[in-house]
Amino acid sequence: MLKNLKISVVMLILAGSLANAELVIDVQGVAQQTPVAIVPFGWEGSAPAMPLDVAEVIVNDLRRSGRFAPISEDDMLQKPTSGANVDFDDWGLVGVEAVVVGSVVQTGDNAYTLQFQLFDVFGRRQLVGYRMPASRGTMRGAAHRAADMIYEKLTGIKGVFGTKVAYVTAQRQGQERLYSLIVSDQDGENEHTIMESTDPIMSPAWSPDSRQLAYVSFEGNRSSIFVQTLRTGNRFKVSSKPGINGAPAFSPDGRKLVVTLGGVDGNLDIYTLDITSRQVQRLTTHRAIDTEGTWSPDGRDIYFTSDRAGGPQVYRVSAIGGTPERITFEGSYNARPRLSPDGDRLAMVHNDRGNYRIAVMDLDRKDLLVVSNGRQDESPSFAPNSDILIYATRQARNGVLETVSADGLIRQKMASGSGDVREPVWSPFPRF
Amino acid sequence: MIRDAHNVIPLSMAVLLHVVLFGSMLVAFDLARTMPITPLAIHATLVTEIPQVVPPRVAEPEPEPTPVIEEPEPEPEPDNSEELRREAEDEKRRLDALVEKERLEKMRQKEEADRKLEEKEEAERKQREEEDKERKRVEAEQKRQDDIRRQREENERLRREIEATERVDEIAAEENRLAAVDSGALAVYMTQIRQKIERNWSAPASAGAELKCSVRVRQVPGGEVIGVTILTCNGDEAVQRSVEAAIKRSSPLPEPSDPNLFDRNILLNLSIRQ
Repeated sequence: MLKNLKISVVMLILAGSLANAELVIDVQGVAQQTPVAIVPFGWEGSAPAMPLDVAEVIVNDLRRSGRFAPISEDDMLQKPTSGANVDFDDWGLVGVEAVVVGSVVQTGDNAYTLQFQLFDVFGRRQLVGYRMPASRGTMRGAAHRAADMIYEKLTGIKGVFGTKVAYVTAQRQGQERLYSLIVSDQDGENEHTIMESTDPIMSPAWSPDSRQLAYVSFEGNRSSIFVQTLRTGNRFKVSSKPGINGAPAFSPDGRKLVVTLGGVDGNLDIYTLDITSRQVQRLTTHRAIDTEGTWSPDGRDIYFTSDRAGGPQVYRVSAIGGTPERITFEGSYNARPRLSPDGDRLAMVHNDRGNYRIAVMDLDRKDLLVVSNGRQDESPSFAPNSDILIYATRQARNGVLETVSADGLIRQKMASGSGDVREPVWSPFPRF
Repeated sequence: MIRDAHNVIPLSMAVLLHVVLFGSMLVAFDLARTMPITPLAIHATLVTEIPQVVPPRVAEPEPEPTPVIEEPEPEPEPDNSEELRREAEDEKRRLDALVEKERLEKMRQKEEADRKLEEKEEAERKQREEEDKERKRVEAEQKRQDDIRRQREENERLRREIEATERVDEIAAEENRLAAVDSGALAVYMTQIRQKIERNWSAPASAGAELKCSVRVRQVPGGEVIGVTILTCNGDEAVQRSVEAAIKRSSPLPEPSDPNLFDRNILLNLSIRQ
């Protein structure tokens, strides 16, 4: 009787377990580096080697993003240069999730075709593949664009390898300091000096089409705001009022700047400036310092720093004027606001227990996340994909650039510039 | 004074004798009727003695003795002793004949009774035989039915036994599985699978905090993954590719310490660690 009961209980359990005979396992993932293989590109041309090691550019881009672990060439079981020769089983054995193969073919004296294909090893299919014309001068840009497409396919986020960064350097030159406004690829390569001066250069800002930079120059011992076109080097002064002319930022439509003007009494307030007409509109009138204005991506609001409540905090005011509203409340010091291009987050310099660090605030949830770990970090700027920030930090006595993912998990130093590097700003996506 | 002179005594004696005789015959006859077997054997003994005593003419029927009694002599004669003796002899003969007749009648009746008895016995025997036959037939039928029932029961028992044997492994396996579950081996097994997939899952940047994916994984003994089906997933294409890659990279999945814990189907619920 007991035995029967036991058996029937077991049968019940058996029936129950057979009904949904399945192990249910909860898996919690973390952002982890995806193992990928970028096979050295094939080369067909007159020279013994291609003008640029395209695979190396892509490897470095992916590695620097912090989201990928490209395997070493030595670990590759095969080195195909076209998709037809890719053996998914081999790559599965190696343990990579994706393989990039490609080639560069010379088609003229300074004409090349760059071809690449990205394969999903476990899905056994091509994810993306392109052929791009290039010259020796544009080969690097083409390689970055290939990296962007690969990155986007594998992460679901637009790549920013093809974007640029502007920053200011200061170098000792004899008794003087030489200030330079520099634009480079986002990886620090391909540096171009836009402007040089023995007087300080400050606050570079990208136009929405990434063809112009606005900046403040103290040449002639007074502050002026210039807008300079990168391709031509032409520049024009847009503001040189008495007192301080500072902290320019473009409106999303590119027609206006938000600026800080001091006026004769030296009281800093936020103004909008029409670039064409040079007309200004005053947005703040407070006796306290109001500065470092920036536009919201939708163009409706201006975020700025004000110490009207004592310490510096971030405020928001309508771009057509109105009553400013305080945005930050956490801590005694929140300054230099910059919005993510998707409008969801606000980056700022935050006093974190005595250290000035970069913090990111979610505008919906209002929670603040400190993403840098220096002592005097400054000038945060979002990459156009809203996923990464660049900022300046102090190393020894010089400023250097660092990037960090917006979640604070992946931080990279950027080997760029020489001397004291400061005020980096990330370009928008280039418009081809 | 005694009226012997009128022959009262011999007459009454004769009457008494008749009465006794008839009475005994009646009693005997009655007995023969009610006790058909053993009293008749006593009468049979009687029959063998009678022919020596009874003369042949007894067969002639005699008139009833009563008229003799009802016709007394008008005048008793003093010297009628011879006549009386003759009369007594006649009377005796008459009585003997009567007895003989009765005896024969009895024999006849006995024979008849015997015959009837025999017939009855024969009938009874036949009936018994018939009954016997019928009983045997019924018994045989009953036995046949019993055999069928027994066979049926035996078959049922065998069937149950076979079923039980077939289930024994299943039950034993399930019992072992439950024991393994109790011992914590299942938790270890599930943790091993979870950790391997977590190690191999490179969640892409687009995988947000609200990510929820349910994935059915089919494996064969040894842990080789033979199927990955994404049931629901609010992640983008990159996330789904990463999930599939994570599972396939994890093939073969860890094997349980107890084979009973192996399960061909695994449901994975994936999310992002906060």
